[in-house]
Amino acid sequence: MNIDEFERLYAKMLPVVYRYATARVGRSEGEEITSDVFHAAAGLFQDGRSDEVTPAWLMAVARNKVIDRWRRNERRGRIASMTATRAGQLVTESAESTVSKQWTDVMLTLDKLPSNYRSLLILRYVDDLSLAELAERTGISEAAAESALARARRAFRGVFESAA
Amino acid sequence: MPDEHPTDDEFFDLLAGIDDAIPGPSDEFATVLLDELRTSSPVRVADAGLFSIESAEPAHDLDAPLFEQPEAHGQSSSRWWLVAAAVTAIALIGASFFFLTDSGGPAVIATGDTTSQDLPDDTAADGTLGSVAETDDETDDETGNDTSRSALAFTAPLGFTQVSTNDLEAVFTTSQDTVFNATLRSGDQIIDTQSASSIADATTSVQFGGLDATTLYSLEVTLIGPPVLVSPRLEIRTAGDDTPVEITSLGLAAVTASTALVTFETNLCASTSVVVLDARDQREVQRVMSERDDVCAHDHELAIGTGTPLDPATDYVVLVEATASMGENSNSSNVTSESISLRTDQ
Repeated sequence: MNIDEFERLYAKMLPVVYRYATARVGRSEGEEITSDVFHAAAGLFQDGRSDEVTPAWLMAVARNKVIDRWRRNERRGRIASMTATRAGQLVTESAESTVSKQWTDVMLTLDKLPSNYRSLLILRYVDDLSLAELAERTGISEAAAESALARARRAFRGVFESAA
Repeated sequence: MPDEHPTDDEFFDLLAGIDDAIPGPSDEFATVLLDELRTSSPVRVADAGLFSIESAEPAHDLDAPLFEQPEAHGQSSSRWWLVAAAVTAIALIGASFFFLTDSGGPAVIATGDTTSQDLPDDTAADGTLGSVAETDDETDDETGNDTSRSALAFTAPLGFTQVSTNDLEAVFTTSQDTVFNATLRSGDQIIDTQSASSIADATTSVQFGGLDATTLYSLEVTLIGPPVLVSPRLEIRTAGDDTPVEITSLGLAAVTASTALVTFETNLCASTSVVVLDARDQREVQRVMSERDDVCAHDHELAIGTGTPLDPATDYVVLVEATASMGENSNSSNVTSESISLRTDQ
């Protein structure tokens, strides 16, 4: 991959990585993660390993960093403040008619769920991982993943409907 | 979502595409970031959330132009094991993150009198569980970059997260990427050891299986620094209290002509099974077992009729059996069952 190809990849994947990250951790942290992902790609490029930098690699790093950020925020008790911040962002964006009310409700509901439920739902229904992939990623059996997902769905429904 | 048990399809409809609803990055953000990439010092792979156990030496010449085309694409052997380590580390992340906050976790008997060998600075002096030390990896409010890199330490102490009769999982977090050894003992006898790698600030998990519920085990993790750090030794007996297990609710959902979903709740973490009997002669028609990994569930769902379809013209009795996974007598007496009638054409 040469510089032009790298920059074409950047142009193509920047919106994808950005949307992926900001949908999961909010705009501020999403921008940080996006920046980190492409800095890492640039590091590999300079290291003579540019062939490793693919869209899939970028998304894997982004996903990794999002999961890490979820955990770090939870460990530091930042869930509440993060939710408040994101709610503010979402309301602003909704006023600009770029985000639907339902989508805002969905994101706020996800924010209120335990992180394991939230991540299961996102990995399954947004990232479109199969049950087998979900099981592999979480280190449990498919049946256990399905059962956990069913509980996550019920938890989501409870919060979503109470907020409606 | 009116149904008691919302389905996959509903959630795909509701959640799929939320990424697309997010506005893309501003032109300014895209331009500034591209300028940064062209001019700033690159980061190490480890800083990208992947894994490196290389020393703090930069992975490449920081003075070299960022987009200098490499003259050769040859990879040293050390690069390959680095990539292999990264893959392993990613797998560890996946395996561990799921269990971090399972509120339905078992009441683990972890004796508080853990021993300490060279307690890391960030670990509570008494070695108690749950004493999560404040990490040293504070984030700069403006840049989001770590403003300091702490010395190797446990930033979250070793603790148990998932324990069933025969299996356990423990987690910990380290301040730096490092290799570790996890040692499970019974008395002075080493039962099992595991060597793997941890990633800075990411929860690392280790799992052990094939345990005996009545044996007192101890678990210890050694970080292969430098410096070498040894966690407090945590003791655990996987058999828990002897609270009787109960099935607190039982129902059927998503009943079709040939299948149904048996839904129920238990007061304790329990492994479960469903036996479908022909109501006329109590003959067993089919049996569905919950997975071993699901033993800590309080809410349960087991599908019946997915293998062998149910007959709409037959009356069935659905017998649910729950076995408390943490009960001291879990293999014998701490079992309960409930039943419900089913006819799928109704």
